[in-house]
Amino acid sequence: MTPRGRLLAATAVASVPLLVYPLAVLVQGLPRFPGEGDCGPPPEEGRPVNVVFDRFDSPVEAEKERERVLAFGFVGTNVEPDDCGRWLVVLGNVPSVEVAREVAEEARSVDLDPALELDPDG
Amino acid sequence: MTLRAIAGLVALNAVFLASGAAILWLVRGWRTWAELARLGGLAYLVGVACTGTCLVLLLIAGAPLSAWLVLAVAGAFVLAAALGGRRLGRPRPTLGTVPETMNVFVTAVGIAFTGVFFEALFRATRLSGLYSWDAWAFWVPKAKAIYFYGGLDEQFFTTLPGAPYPPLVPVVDAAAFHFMGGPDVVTLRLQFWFLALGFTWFLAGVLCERVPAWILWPFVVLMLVAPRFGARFAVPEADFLLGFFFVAAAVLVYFWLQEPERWRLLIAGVALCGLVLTKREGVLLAVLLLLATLAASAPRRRQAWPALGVTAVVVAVVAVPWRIWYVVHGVPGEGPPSAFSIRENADRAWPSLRLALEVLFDSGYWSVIVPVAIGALVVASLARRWTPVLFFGVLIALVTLGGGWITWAIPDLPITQEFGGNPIVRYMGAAGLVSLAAAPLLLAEAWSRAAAPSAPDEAA
Repeated sequence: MTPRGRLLAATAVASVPLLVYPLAVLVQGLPRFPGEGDCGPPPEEGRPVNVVFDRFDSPVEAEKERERVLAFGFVGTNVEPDDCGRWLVVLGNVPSVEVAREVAEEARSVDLDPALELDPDG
Repeated sequence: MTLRAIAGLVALNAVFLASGAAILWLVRGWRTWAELARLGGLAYLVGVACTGTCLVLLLIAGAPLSAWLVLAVAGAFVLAAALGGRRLGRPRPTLGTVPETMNVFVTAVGIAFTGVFFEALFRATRLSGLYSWDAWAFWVPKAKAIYFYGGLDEQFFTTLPGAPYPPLVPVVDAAAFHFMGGPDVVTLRLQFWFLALGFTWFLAGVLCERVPAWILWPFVVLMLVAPRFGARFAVPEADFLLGFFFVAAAVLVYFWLQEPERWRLLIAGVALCGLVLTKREGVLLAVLLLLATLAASAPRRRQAWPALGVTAVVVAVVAVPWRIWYVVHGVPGEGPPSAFSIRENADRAWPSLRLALEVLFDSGYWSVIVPVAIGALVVASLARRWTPVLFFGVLIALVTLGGGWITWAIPDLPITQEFGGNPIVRYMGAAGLVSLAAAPLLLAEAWSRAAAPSAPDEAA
């Protein structure tokens, strides 16, 4: 075998498994990239709820927003890290989805736009 | 957890690779492109060590970390190496030749197996959480503090557990956050996947200079399937990077003992700088490596020892600023309270050493790596290859004694292999990895002797 042929054959031996494995995986479907929605699971009836006012990359920005939210009277609002490395401005441990909806409604009346999520610590 | 984050990590690690390749071009040149491909793993580790060390020193001096700072440091290395290389007349690489048939096919099979392993590890790592205690308790919080506050925030770096640990890993993590576009602690694990890939590339690429492929690749595969290595390589802690730098330095020093080219010791010194800024055990491992090298180079001490002395001084100079930082900020020291008092805790001496030996020979951590390395020491002794036997034998013994010394000298540490109680298993990973690198080198030395029986015996 010529040196060039040897090199081609060896390259094939090395690269075929390296290509076959990912292709075999991709045949089963494209890889999933969880989005921000996956950081906060949706609320469930009968379990405590988080009223999340916003998410931030920086704890400093989150703290500013918390002070703004507190100024509207949402006492107990905290800054907490989420599982995705961001910072939540959150009113946690709201006892039910119904109460959380009422809180969210009240917040919308002062131009806040909170989302309801399951409170994982509840 | 996004393609952008993964692309950012690819870019950061390409920056490490480029800076390391430029530095190697400066100190040794690249004869062929194949040589550059073979030593890419070494270039990558050199890039991580050089860039990481500079960034740590800059942060200690008060510079704020950003993606631009990382690019500036790496770019400065590339520029300086390019100018220096041109001045030294380093040639551009040529195409080179194809190695002999058996080696090239065994290498191809080894690359295929290793590559598929890393592809699978990538899939498992990409969406894994931050579960290990040390990682979420202080390694990653320190990285987040650097990312959010720009530098070594006094409150975080003095109150978190492991406060005196040097900050190279948090600095690399924070650089990864900047390149990913956010503090994505899930995708961060891929940074450790890159480090493991770079080390595996280093091991295969550097050792194949002296080890036939049929001896080398089974050991590479053995490392990947060993319980404490392989699948655990992507845990975002400093233990494995510590082991990688230690083995890189040990292998380069060993090659320098066999063939005293100055660049090998220079690059070993770079790896040692990374080592002493990765974990506090790094200082101990650097001292032990120096002692083993002094022992193995005793026959030509007039040439070897001054060079080793200069290397030791440079590494010490790099290690000192971090120690000054934490002393100035009131952090209790990293040294054990009864480090050299033989009378104190005398009753703990044997149980501590026995614990280190039990961990060394526990196949539940390192599979058969250590018994095989000891077998290789015996085989190389029978072949009268004294330099590798002395160097690796002394080094493995010293690292094991060092493990015993840590448990003995810190009375608060219980005599246990429990990860939460005693760092012995983490520390002995360095012994496991260096045994893994030593075994094929020793066997190759014995094989070369068997293949050429008329070769003269080595002087002890």
